[in-house]
Amino acid sequence: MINVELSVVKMGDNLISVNNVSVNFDYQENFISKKQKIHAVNNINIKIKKGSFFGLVGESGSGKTTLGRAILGANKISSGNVIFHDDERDYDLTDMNKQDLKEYRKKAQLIFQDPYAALSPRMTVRDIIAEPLEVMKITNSRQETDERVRDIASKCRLNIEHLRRFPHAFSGGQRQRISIARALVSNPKFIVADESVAALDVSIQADILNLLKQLQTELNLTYLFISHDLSVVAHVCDVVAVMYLGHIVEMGPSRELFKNPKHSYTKALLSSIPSIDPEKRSEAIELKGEIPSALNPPPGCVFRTRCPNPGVDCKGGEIKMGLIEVEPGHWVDQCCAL
Amino acid sequence: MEVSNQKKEAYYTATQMQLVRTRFFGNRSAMIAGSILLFMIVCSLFSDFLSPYDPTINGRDKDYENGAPQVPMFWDENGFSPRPFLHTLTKYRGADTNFRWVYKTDTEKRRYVYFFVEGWEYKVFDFNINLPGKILDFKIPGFTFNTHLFGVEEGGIHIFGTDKAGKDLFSRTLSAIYISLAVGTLGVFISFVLSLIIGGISGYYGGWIDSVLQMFTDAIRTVPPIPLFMCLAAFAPLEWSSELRFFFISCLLGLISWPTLARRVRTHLLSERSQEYILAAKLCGASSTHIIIRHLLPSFTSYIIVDLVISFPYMLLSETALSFIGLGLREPVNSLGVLLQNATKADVLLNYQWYFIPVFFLVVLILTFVYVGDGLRDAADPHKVK
Amino acid sequence: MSHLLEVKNLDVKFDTDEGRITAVENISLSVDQGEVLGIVGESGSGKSVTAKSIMKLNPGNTSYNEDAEIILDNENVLQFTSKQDLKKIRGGKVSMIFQEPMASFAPAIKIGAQMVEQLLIHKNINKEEAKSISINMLKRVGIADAEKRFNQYAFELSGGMRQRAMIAMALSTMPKLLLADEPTTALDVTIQAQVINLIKDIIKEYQMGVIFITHDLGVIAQVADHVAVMYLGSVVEKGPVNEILKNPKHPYTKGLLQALPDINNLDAPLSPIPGNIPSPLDRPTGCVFRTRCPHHNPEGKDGKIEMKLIEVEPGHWVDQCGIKCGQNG
Repeated sequence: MINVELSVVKMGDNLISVNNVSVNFDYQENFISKKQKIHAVNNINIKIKKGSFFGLVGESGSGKTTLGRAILGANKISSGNVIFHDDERDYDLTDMNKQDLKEYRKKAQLIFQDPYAALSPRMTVRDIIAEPLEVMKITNSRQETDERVRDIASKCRLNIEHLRRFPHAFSGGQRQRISIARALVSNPKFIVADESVAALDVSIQADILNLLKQLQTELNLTYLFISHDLSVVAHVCDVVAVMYLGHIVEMGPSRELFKNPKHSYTKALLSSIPSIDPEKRSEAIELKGEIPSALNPPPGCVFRTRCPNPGVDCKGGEIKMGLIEVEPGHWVDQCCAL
Repeated sequence: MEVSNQKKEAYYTATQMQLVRTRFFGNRSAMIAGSILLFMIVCSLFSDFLSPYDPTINGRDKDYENGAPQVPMFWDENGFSPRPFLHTLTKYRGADTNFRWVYKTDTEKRRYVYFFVEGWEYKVFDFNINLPGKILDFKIPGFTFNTHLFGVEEGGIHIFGTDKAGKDLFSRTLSAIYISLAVGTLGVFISFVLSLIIGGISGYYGGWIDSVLQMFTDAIRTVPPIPLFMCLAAFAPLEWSSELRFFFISCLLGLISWPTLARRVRTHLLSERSQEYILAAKLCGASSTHIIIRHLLPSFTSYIIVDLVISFPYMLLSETALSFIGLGLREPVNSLGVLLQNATKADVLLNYQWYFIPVFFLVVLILTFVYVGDGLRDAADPHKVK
Repeated sequence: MSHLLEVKNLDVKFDTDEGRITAVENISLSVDQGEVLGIVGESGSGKSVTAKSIMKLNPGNTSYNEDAEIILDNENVLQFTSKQDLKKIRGGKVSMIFQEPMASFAPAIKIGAQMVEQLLIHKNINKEEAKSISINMLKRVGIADAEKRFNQYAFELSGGMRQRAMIAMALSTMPKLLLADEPTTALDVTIQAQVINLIKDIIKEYQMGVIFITHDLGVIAQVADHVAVMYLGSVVEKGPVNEILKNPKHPYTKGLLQALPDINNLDAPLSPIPGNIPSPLDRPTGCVFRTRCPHHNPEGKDGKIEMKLIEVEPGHWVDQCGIKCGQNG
């Protein structure tokens, strides 16, 4: 039985500061209808500390993937800024020149969800892992590249013979390890794992999660772990933020949050998880209605249209959204905090 | 079932192209069609060597006009002969045949068929292209040969018969296949280059460039092809040389059929562009050139090859149709359409049925292309359901 | 007591380019009316193939073994070849709901039209009656504005609603047996909870038998009465859900439970099952789990022990290799 300690990595200063970030997309049904905006991410404030395993949880339409990609610079940030506090200097994602962006790319990488679509079927594993090195011109000779590829591949438990093969020879779990190796080959400091274990079988999921933890201690990484699976997030993350319709509704240390949820949405989410104990037939809190459209989010608290126990003030939508610290490190949106 | 480790390793290290090839070779109907097609292409390339007579007016046999096919025999009432032979024919006209010219067979006199005989001269690798303007004139003197695969010493050997002027239909058919394939190849090439550029730009950049280019593509597509062909072909002046006409018809075919191929290229690009491994490359800071060369182009090579092979039959049919109406290639240039045009008279239907033999070759050519194209598509598409 | 559905000694093999693949070997299961049988397994376990065999929906290159029997209402489904007979199992007595609700509905036909079409095929009623039954069914599954939704296309509904509409369509013919193939896997967790509650209500009301296929042990715990755990085409353990989840005997079942992150026990480590699931082309002889089993019984490791279910406790069956390997390891 493999026993992995929960992160005992020293958590230091902030590595990433997300300040009032909003991401909007233009949407036009056809070219004569009027232009609308999809409010994918609204006014997010997060501080990700160095060495932490930050979890971002939400259902579909919550904006977690959009936020993750915006932090990497893959989506355009409409307002606010994201600052990457590197050892020597700070990088502001909204105010970067091409050279800075290149440097940032070396230090922040993404692991994808779908192990089948994330690897080019026409390249050998060695070429796939080596591609970032070649594109970012990190190594100068083929020998150097090969050495680095072999080094990171062995850390991800891939053998030498695997390097010559093509992706079609591998299972989902092995492909995900190749994805991880590709993300790590440029020696990044920050990794965004976007639903990286969602497509894997349960027994393999545990394997990949353990690998991620191990690599964190070995290589001093900071993770932003995006997932819809609360049980997984509860096990591996130390800080968790819960998102709903582009807003963070609750954020705090993972144990505290899951033992003591304060926001109605978090409570509903937790109650919906089917328990393994057949005798505990869980009574899930039912959420009425459908998630509102991101084109037209309800003003005020976005969750009030489905909240199972709204207060008198919530219904009118007068209370604006904003996080309040109810306990040290534990933040809740003010609509439910009051 | 225990599969050997060697085979497994071979599967693991096989590139996409190798996998496609293996799958194609396992497809029986495609392989049969492919061999027939290959055989026909090789025959057409060597058409001059295989034809006993010059397909143009120079090779006509005045003594055997509108003659029935003469098939060499190995055996007749006089005994067996290992060397194939033909009987002699004499022209005869009399009251008993309604004063029509008829050929009588003389079974006594045999004419033996010889192989690798000397015959009419033909040139190989010579290009004498005379296009408007001095720049595009090519003149490469080629090699002259005069050996042919088979022939007879006196009289003629006409395996498919002859036409009204006495031209050997077998030779004509062979050169017609060659010309039709050449026109098709050139047309496909022009169409391919155009569609790669337009479809490629459209698919890669997307956005308003895509919308504008698609509107343009659709506009060309909506024009009905046959009237368009007829209009444009009718503009070609009669005094153009046959090579010029050849180029002109090929260009026409290519210009009319690129929209379909462009749409396919665009679709492939759009779907490949949104694949996650492309995003992974972009997140490393890969330039557009790197993405196009390293990822996009290899990914749709197999699809494009399939599309090219499948567009061949359409080219062939279009050229045949044009020539059949009389607007495409003309005498002395032979093509399958030109040959078919001769087969339209009632006279032919009743008396000279062998004029229809080229139809069989046209059908076989098109069918083999279609089967090979289907086989390639099945081999390239890993998601097929049996 | 006769079961609603009984599967006996089923083998399913596929003839592919790479050879004959054994998808399922020697499966025996049974479901009673009003009971939910959960089938749990990871990818390659053969759970979907088993369900599709009940409706004879497997592709053309499938071959079944001679002595296999799938008995539904005293008839052997595997012997069905005529259209009349097949109609009985496909949508008549047996209905199936799938993981991807978009795949169930034709995109260019309204939902209502599809539901009515299904009813008209299986029941002897006219269009009006079919329409009213369908709208009632939509209301029953909790879709508000059922009349409006009846006239909509599948893409106009959200994921959860589509899944409910698919359940409505499957239930409208009042089948005796419902096959649910990963019906909640693609849904958000809050919607999943609602759909599970809906399925439980419907089972109680209509007293039909249900085979619920999933890889999620939590869902099984909440929904199923009996569980069969499948690995690489064989059943390794089966029994009442309480027994199996509280008292697992086979190393694979134990491994699955240990690999699961349990939100109520955040201190427990996540222990994966070592190794990889072998490809179906490489199916191990003897005990299929031996390549990854943590125990070291030499006979089991060499594949000498044949797979066979043994009843270790009343109703609780475990594969014999799984019991023997624990004894010397």
